[in-house]
This record gives sequence, structure tokens and C-alpha cells, in this order.
Amino acid sequence: MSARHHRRLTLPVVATGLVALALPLTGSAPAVAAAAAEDGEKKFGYSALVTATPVYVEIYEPTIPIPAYPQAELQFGYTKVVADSSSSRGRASFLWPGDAVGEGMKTILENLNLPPEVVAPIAEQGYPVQVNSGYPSGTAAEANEPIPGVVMRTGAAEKTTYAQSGYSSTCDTSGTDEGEGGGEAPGLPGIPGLPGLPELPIPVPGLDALVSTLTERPAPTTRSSARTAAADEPAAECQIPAQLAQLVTFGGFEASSHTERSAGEIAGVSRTAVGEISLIGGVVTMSGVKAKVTSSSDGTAPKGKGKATYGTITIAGQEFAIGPEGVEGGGQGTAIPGLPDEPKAALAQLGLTITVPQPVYEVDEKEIKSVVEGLVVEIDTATLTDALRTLPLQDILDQLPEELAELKKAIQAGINLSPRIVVHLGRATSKLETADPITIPDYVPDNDPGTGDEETTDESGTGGGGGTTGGGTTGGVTTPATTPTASAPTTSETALPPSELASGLPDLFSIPGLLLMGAIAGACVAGSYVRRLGLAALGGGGACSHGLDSGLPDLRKVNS
Amino acid sequence: MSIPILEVVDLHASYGRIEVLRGVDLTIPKGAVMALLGPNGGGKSTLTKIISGQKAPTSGHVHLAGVNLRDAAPEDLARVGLCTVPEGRSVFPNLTVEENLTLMSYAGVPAEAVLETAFAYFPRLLERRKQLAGTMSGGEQQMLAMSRALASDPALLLLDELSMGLAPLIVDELYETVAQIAQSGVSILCIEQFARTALRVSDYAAVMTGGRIVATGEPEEIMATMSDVILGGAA
Repeated sequence: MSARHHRRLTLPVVATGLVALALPLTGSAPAVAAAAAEDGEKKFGYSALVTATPVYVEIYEPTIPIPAYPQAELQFGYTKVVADSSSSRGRASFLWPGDAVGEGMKTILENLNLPPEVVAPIAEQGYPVQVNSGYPSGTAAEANEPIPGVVMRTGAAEKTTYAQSGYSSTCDTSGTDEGEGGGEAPGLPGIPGLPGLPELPIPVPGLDALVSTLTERPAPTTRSSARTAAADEPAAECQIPAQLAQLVTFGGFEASSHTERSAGEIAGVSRTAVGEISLIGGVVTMSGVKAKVTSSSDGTAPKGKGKATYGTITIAGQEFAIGPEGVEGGGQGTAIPGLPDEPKAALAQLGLTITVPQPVYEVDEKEIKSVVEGLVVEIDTATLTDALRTLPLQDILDQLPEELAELKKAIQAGINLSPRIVVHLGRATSKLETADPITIPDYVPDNDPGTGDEETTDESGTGGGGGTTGGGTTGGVTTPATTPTASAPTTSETALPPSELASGLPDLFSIPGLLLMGAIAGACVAGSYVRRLGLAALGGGGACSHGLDSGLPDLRKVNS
Repeated sequence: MSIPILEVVDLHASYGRIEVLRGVDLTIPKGAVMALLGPNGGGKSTLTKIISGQKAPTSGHVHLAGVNLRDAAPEDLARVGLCTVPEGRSVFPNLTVEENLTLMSYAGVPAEAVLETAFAYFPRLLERRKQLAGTMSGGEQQMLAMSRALASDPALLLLDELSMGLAPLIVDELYETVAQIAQSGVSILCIEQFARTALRVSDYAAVMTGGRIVATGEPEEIMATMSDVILGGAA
């Protein structure tokens, strides 16, 4: 009875015990996994800057009184996302005039000395053509579509922040010159009713003929003929001022920038696309430029990738394909400088240079900067300078009242303009930097002298009591002593024999070691004095020309 | 004559090829409040960066309490009592007010003392102690930034654009606290674009434009002589 009865009792008890032991383990498994996932998301800190601009016009002209370089810029379809581990901001603008003007619009307007009642309401709201978002403070999402076809959207959240801008033109950019020759320009987007820029009253010598030769088309129509032609058909609603359209026109564009944080990875992506592009009144046309760049990092190794794609380019009526290596004509790659002599010389006469930038990926440990650009077109307007100087601008300025002196000065400076204009088509940038998390040690050494004394006393007591006794007694005493020092096992391993600890004196170096350390310290002191003597002999004894010592004073102990 | 707590002598600085400071001379007596005024782009914030060790000058000298500074790191300057409240506040937006303040205990001051100092100067922070800093108003974030600076027991406090983006009532409230801090013996350099409130609590004032100090004196003198030239309608 007893053996069978014991087995009947033992088996259920053992089984129950095993189940009881296993239950907490199975129950805690998802919790551990969740914690690991949480940890996985927060492995590193980061900061990211992502921008995308389909058409970016830079104007370098030192006489423009704006303390920025370049002095003026226009970015069509500007998107920007700035994010870090704890916050993010997004901005989208259909037409961004650069940070100097966009951010400083209020200051610029206030310094024009215009009547406050006119300026104040405009200055108060800052640059109007933009939407902004921010996390955790700021607007979560903002969108503005002031006119059909123009889109500005941005949104910021904990893990994803985006900015998008796009434009679908209704202007006719199919290659005819009508509509680009001047005339009345519609209002700027977001500022309806603002009159367009006046047309140049004096033609640039030789420019029309040159354009005509290069494009094998008649020279651009005059203002009156353009109006006559436009009167025959309904006027298209073009958002670009006519003079700017003479420089660059494009059929449509879109740009997007976004950052996304997922488990163990942060990525910044920017993308731009531009439709049909026409430069210098149609001398150069391109069928489309796209660029995309991505930077990502898992906290250890940043990676970058990107690509720019191009359609075809027509220069002076001759069609070429463009690839990453430059212009490709007839199936063979040809560098841009290898264009036929006649168009090349003609483009140089117009001050036009086209380059195909290589993608840039700069990796510096945990930081990566990626830049992908479609094309860069550089225009030197020295050709136009003579014409600008002949404008009767001074006569017009004399009519302005004296209260607008600052405005007059700014316009007078414009007479001497000969800006260098750089047009970037399809510019996408992405910058990413990660940082390791702060390592917080699990064990913090206890520097309280009281605790140390107790342990020392305990150990010394152990030594005194059982230093030379047999193994049985020593084992019995050391058990409680090793328990509290489990977090610092090396202490017990390197401890001196109990007989030496009993003196209570701290560790001392050996005599030779002590002499060596003393000699090094003495040499440092002597070297310092010798250096000061040397400086004094050479006239550099005083730290500065005012005879003051160099150093770092404790300001809290300075007497008044 | 006592040694000034801060003396800047013929200081030049530039960003790349653009020279922004063109021979700045400025002296702050110990225990005084100096308002440094001037239009945007005049070089005021650059001067703050150089004094606090965040940017190296191209030439010139900075003397702190009669000692010449040379290549001093910002953290070393903060340790000896020079504290900066930077433009734009720079609080940790996703930490609570209490956590933002507790971080300052790493400077050596106990966390309880940091909180006590902060809540004594700004009782409103006590009400918001569990709120995320990023969700507070601009004025409250500025109070938090000032509290963190005060927690390090400063002897010289640099306040860069304290009023930027804040409502006039909040600015008045902040400057009342600045006056209280000054009464405790702390020397203060207030950099401001908008002058009237700063001048009310200042002992001295200087006007900076184009990278140079163009006028110094007592607040009344500056208001009388410079308001139409420099301060304009913003005063």
C-alpha cells in the first residue's frame, strides 16, 4: 500500500509543481518580447534634415542688400523636414524665396520705411506662401491649395513627418514663343492682384537674332504682337511672371520630403520631379528630370542611395539624351563639353553652362550627407548688363517721395546688376546623423566611508578569527562576508592577506614606483616654470596685451 | 575701481568670409544689468556665442573678472558660473517640466534644490510640473529655460532674445524676474531686439549695429539719443 500510495500522491504533486513553475515562464514571454521591441526602437538618437526642390534658382549679385549668399533665391516646390529623436518639423511652399527672405520677411518689410499701417498686417503673418507642421508642439498637419493645381501639404507625427508640394501648370510650354514675350503678368500665387514686372523696354542687342538662329524659329514676338495673338484665344492662367518665364519655364513639378522612424531604423527620403523645361526663351528644352535620394541608418552604419533620371534635351533644335555620364547622342556617351562647336559657342555667348552633377554620398562614421541633382544650369547675365544700364530708371526714381529713400536706394543698386544665375533642376538632399545611447552602469560604487569601514572590519575580523585555522572554520566565517560583495567580486580576489589588512593602512606603491611618480610630478612642475620663464624671456609672459593672466576664474568667488 | 566681471576688447569674428563683429568693446561691472540692443543682424547673438565659448573669435580679447579667456570650453565656463539662456529656449520638448529641471542636477546641484529654486522664481512651473515641455506656451518654456540656468547658481547670466515671440504681458513678467535675479547679485547681459522693457530693468545699455557698439550709457540716455535711430518703432 505504502509504495503505490506514495506514488499516487507524488506524481500529481510533482506534475502540479512543474506546471506551476512553467506557467510564469510562459506568461512572461510576451512581456519580455515587448520590452525587447521597445528597446529596439530606442537604440540610438538621431537628427535628420531632408529637402527636395524641383527647380531651385540662385542669384549671385553682391549689390543686392540682403546679408545672404546667394543674395537671392527662388525655390519652386520647396519641401523640408527637420527631425530628431524627440521632435520634428515640416514645411512646404509652392514658391520659397530662400531662408533669408522667407524667415526674415517681417524684418525686411519693417526696414523699408513704408507706412506702418500698410506694413504691419503683412509683416505680422510673415511669408504667406507656406504651410508648417511640428511635433510635439505646433500644428499636426496643415494644407493649403490657394489655386487649382497648386498643392502644399505637411504633417508631423511621432514617427513620420512629411512635406509635399506640387504644381500643375496650365501655361503653354510647348515651345512657341507666344505668351512668353512679356505683357501683363498675372498676380503671384497667394498674392492676387500684384502687378507683374515691367517688360524690358530696350531689347538686348543681338539676343533675339541669336535665339532665332539657335532655335531655327522666328525671333520672339514683341509685346504688341503677343497681345494681338493672345486676343484671338482665351488667355491661359499662368502663375509665373513673364520675365521669369523668359528665363525658365516648366510644365509641372512635384516634391516630397519625409522622414520615417521604424523599429531600429531611421530613414529620410526626398524626391523631386519636373516636367517639360524650357530655358532662355526655348534655346534649351528638356523633357523631364527626376531625382530621388534616400539616407537610412540603423544606428551603426548609415547608407545612402539615390538616382537622377533625365529625358531628352534639345539644344538649338538638336535632340540629345542625357544620362548620368552626360549627353548621349546617337547611342554614344558624350560629355557636355563635347557638344558640337557651333551650339557650344553660341551657348557660351549667352553665358550658359550645363553640368550633370554626380550624386554625393559623404559618410563620416555615423553621419551621412546625400545629394542628388538632376542638372545644373549656370547663366552669366553679363550679356544683359549693358541693356540694364540704359534703362531710364533714375527718372522714374526721382518721382518717388523722399519717405521711400530706402526703397530708392535698393532700386538704384539694381542698375548695376550683373548677376550670375544658377538653376538647379531636381535637387534632393538628405542628411542623417545618429548617436549612441547613453550607457548607464548597473552598478554604482558606494563611496560612503561608513560602509567601507564595516566591510573592512568584517573582513579583518574574519582574518583575525580564522586566519590560520583549518578549512572548516574559515568556510563558516567567509560565507556571510562574500554575500554583500557579490556585485564587486574583484575586491575579494585582489584583497591583501588578512594579516596585512589588520594594520588599517591604505595600499602603498612600491618604493621605486613612488620615486618614479614623484620624479614625473617634479618634472611637470619644473617644466611649467621653465616654460613660463621662456615665455617671459621672449616677451610673451603676459597672457594678453593687457597684461592679464590667462585662465578660468571662479566667477562666484569674485569680490566686487 | 573694481574689476568688471566681463570685459570685451576689440573683438572681431566672422562666418567664413563675412565679418560680423568689427571691433566690439563692452564692459559689464559686477552685479550690473546691461542691456545690449540693436537691430536684427547686428552681431548680438554672435557676441553671446563668443563670450560663452561656443564660437572662436578671429581676434580680440574676452576678460572674465580680470582674467584673460583663451580657448575656454562652454562647459568649463558654465562650471565657473557663466550661464547662457540661448535664443529659442531649447528645452527638451518631450520631457516634463520636472524632468527638464532634474537634468540640471547633473551639474552638481541636488535635484530638490533645483526644483525649489525654479518653483520659487516661477510658481507657474509648479502647476505644470508634470506637463510635457513641448506642449507649454512660449512664455512658460522661456521660464523653464531660465529656471535651468538659475539652477547652476550663475554669477554672470547671458539672456539672448528673452522676449522673442512672446506676448508683451509675458515679457513684462519675465523681466520682473530678471530684476529679482539681479537683486541677488547676479550680473546679467540682456540681448534684445526690442528695447523698452529691457531698458526698464537695466543699469546700463549699449546699442550694437553693423558689428560694432555704437553707443553706451545709462538707459535714459540711450532712449533719448538712440530710439529714433536704432530702436525705431519697435522700442
